Amino acid sequence: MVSVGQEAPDFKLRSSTGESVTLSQFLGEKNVVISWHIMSFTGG
Amino acid sequence: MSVDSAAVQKAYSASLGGLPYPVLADFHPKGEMSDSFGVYNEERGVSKRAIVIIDKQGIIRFHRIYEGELPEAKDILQEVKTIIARE
Repeated sequence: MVSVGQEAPDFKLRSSTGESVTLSQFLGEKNVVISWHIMSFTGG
Repeated sequence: MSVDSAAVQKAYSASLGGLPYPVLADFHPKGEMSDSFGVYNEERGVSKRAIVIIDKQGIIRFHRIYEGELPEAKDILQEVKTIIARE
């Protein structure tokens, strides 16, 4: 379980744009906000 | 992001007018990335509602799971501003 102050685990995921996104691509460049919803198209 | 596929996320983004950020698909292997952040609901097979903010050094600065409530955009923006102010 990760927590505040720890290094975030890197990931590589496909996305809505058709391109894969990795966390490491933003290292040293941008702060990253990740927002999880429960399921798309459900209001959840 | 959610455990839906990239094709679903593309349609979902379009349905919301074309979101100005990528919607990630934690689809295969399902939930693996969400689980690595401690926000996967193993019982239901979906992610939990959550916000995580990671700074430029790759360090987690904010991590919160929302159950029975929605995140407030202004609160998240304030967290980001606080991080930027400390850079």
